[in-house]
Amino acid sequence: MRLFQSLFRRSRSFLKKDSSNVELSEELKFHLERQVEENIAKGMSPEQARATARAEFGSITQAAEKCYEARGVAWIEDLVQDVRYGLRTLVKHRSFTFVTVLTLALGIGACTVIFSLVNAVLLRSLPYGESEKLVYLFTPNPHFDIPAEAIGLSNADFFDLKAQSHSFAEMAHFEQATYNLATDDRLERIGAAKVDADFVKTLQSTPELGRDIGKADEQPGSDRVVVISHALWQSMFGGSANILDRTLRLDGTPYQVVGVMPRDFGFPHKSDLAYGNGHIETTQLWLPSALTPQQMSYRDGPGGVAIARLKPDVTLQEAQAEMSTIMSRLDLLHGGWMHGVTALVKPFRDTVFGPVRALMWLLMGAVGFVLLIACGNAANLLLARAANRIQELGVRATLGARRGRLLRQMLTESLMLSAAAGFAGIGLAYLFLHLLLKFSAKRYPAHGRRNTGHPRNGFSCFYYDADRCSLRCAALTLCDSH
Amino acid sequence: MTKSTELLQGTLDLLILKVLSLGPMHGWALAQRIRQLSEDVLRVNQSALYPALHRLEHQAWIEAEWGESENNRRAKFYSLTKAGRTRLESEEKSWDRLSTAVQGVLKAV
Repeated sequence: MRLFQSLFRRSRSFLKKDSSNVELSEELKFHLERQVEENIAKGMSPEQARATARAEFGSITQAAEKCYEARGVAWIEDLVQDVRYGLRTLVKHRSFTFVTVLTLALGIGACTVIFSLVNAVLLRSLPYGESEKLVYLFTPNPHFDIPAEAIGLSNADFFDLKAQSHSFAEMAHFEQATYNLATDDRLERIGAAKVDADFVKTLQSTPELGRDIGKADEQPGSDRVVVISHALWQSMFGGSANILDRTLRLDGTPYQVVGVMPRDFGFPHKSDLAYGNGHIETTQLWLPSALTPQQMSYRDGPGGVAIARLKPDVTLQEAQAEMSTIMSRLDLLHGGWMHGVTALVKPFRDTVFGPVRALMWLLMGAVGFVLLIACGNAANLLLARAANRIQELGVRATLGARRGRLLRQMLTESLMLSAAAGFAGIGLAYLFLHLLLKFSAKRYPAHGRRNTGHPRNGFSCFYYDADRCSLRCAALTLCDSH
Repeated sequence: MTKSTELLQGTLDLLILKVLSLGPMHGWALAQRIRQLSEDVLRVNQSALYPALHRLEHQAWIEAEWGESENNRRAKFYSLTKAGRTRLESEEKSWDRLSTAVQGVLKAV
């Protein structure tokens, strides 16, 4: 209540400055005259009474000024004054203002774009639950001259590991495939994954519509079902609500649509697998793998890709140790030429971000220095101008301006410069980002089409509506051109 | 007239609030009353009084109203607000604490 009253009075004396000052001088005058009357009553002559009262009273101007400061609104007026004066000087020295603002804006813009990129690629989590708990499982074999991540678990190893291990909350395996999808007038080649019933659960996603692949779908014979991506739902079915129970013809065989995955979900993307199918940018279809008992027992034959989620209290090292132990047991079951199977638990994020992480930080550091240099240049320009203003400041100091007051004026001017540069920088960053996305969209057409957009926090966020995938591709593009 | 500046920081505020608790009065009367009550020791100069009054008014401890003075002139009368009355109580308490403490030190040494 008191605060409101106080605020009200302050704003009143700020807005009605003139009437407040008139009242003040009337009040002071009354005081002086009352003192004169008192002095006369004490027996002084009118002249003497007046002179004594004046002497006692001191300077009226000084009193008025002190009262003005006591109202607690003086600093607002000073600020308004400084801003006005600053604007006038900045407009007068147009070329100086332009160069300084441009220098800073370029630095800020570059920094913001790269931060947006780093933020999207490295800092933001992937749309798969706690993605830092996701790991790929490989069975590298030192006898073969093949990269470790090229050898996945064979089917039999996968099921044995699943039965014997305790480190993983979920385990799933899948295989990439492509299908010809018959649309109205043509055939399209579409990236797909043949997955088991734990696949979606492991990634901690849920279908946007309908259901995911279940246990029942894995029985050979009842496996003619498919879950489709959001993009496919939109492009082929116009996002119609009664999509479920419709059929898709894949390689000539009809499949019943049972679910639609959310917009963000396209696992595995091309960048999600180190040695995946290079023709698949984003997965659009998920079908049951429906392994026959005979396929399940393949020990040395080709397997799928195994992805697992660590239990909350299990570390990567513990999982690696456990898997190594189990694999050394299972190694005995392998045929002679396959002996020597080992285990590798690799964090999902390393595979996805590995190639770009170092480059991203390098870029971030580089633009950080660009911003520093820009700031240094701006400081130089300001210094050069300050040398020209010595006379102006000298005059003001002589007229009684206090040091703090002069400093405040300089600060206000600098703040105005940097605010202008900040706005210009945001504009530039917006432009740069769109150019970057356009550039990368040309090279990665499948991602360029998708544009989701989430409002984001942080200083780089609000003008940034690009999809995470497009940005990841932008990063990859940079990586390539590097 | 340097006596007013010898007042401890914030003491003038306390004196103003206390004297105003007797009833509304204008600035000159307030200065007179403080002088009388302190038996001519505390002479509050206008250059300290009016800034203090304006500050207290803007903090809403006191409020001002134009009225007619004892010599039939227009004068600005100050009076305590409800918040000001509470403020006075707490200021008095802390003043008591301070002066007792200072007394204690002075007597002990």
